[in-house]
Amino acid sequence: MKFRKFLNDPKKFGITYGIVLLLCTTLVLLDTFVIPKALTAAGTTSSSTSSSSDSDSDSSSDTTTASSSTSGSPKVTITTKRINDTTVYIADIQLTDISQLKTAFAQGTYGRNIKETTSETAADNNAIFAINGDYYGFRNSGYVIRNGKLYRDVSSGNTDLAIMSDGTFKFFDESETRAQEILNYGALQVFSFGPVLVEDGEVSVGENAEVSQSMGSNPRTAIGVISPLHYIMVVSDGRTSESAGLTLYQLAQVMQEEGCTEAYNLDGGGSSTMYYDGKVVNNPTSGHGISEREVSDIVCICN
Amino acid sequence: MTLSAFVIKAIKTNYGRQTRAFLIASAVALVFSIIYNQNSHGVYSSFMTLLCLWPLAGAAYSFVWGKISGFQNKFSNNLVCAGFATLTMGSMLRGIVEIAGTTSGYIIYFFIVGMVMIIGGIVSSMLSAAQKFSC
Repeated sequence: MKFRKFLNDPKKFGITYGIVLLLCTTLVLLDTFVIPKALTAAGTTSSSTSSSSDSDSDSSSDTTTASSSTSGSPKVTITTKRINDTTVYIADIQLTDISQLKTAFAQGTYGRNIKETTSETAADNNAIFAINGDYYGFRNSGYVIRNGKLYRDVSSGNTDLAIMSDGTFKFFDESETRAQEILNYGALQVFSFGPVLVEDGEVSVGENAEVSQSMGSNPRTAIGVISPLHYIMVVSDGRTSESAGLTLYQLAQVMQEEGCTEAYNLDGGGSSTMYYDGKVVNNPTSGHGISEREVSDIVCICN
Repeated sequence: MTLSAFVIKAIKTNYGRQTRAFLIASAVALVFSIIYNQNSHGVYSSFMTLLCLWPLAGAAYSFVWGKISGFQNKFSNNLVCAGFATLTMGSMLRGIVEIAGTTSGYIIYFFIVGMVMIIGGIVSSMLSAAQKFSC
């Protein structure tokens, strides 16, 4: 009888339901953005093989801000360019072994909402160079294969980038290929973001292409290959008065001009960060001015 | 009777007050979505852009339902209003996660619960009206 009275009372029912609804909304927001959850890996580890090095050369008329190389260690050359009212940081990376190209999880843990800045994760892993990854931990789907281990095999329908054990790049459609198959082909790293920027040396995005519902110019992060063990990693500034940011098409053009035969777009916006020799190279925007956003994973170069 | 007089008459009733509350909620949702979209760095979500449509639908329901005599039922009305509120919150959450570029498996339940409440409320109101007419 009391319950029936309660159901018929607009004030009591309205206030109670309003509180319940607000609590549910808060819980969903906390679960999506805040509560860290360590997850278990979905599958197996591949048996990786290393390939021999190559020695492509690169020259640029723009500012070379940093360069390093010792015998047997990776050679990293960072060049800063102004393209479309945007500062673009281009890292030319030559490895002697594919094992020098690694990925790392924030706090060393695979999971959702487990975050750390790119520079912190890079420092934790003694990386000499790093860029942000695909922010896998912000989504529940999309393949995750890192350092030859399968962590997530839930398809998102994306076209993935696989860095193979011979140093080449291959693209896989998640709706056509299972994660375990990609691992069996010899993938060491798989990123689920995109889109593919350059394929077989040709720009593969249209002038109006965008990530999801995103529009206009943004800070960007991309990774490309010139030849096995010779890579280009690009981060552009954006969302600042000094730098407008790049469109995906402009980013693809940069990758193509740098000589990439294959290139792939990684997580951009506030996540875009380049780290080198203990310092952040670019001007990341986290929503609170120029500061690093915490992300769930990085791509790094280690000795 | 002119359309404006018709609207004023409806607003003067209890359902009219409810219509007015939904219209205010719709305006608040519109302002919220505009501000959110302006600060989303060019990322848009149709769920956020069209957020004000759920309370506007609630206003339309209140306006029409209030005019149909015999269908007014407090319990059913509470259920329908709560349904529109749930759909509005679900739409806002979907907009927020879409703009952030992530997903949540729980948001679908807001839409399911909201729709069930609205349909349940309307059906219950009709059943109650049918009972009244048969007596």
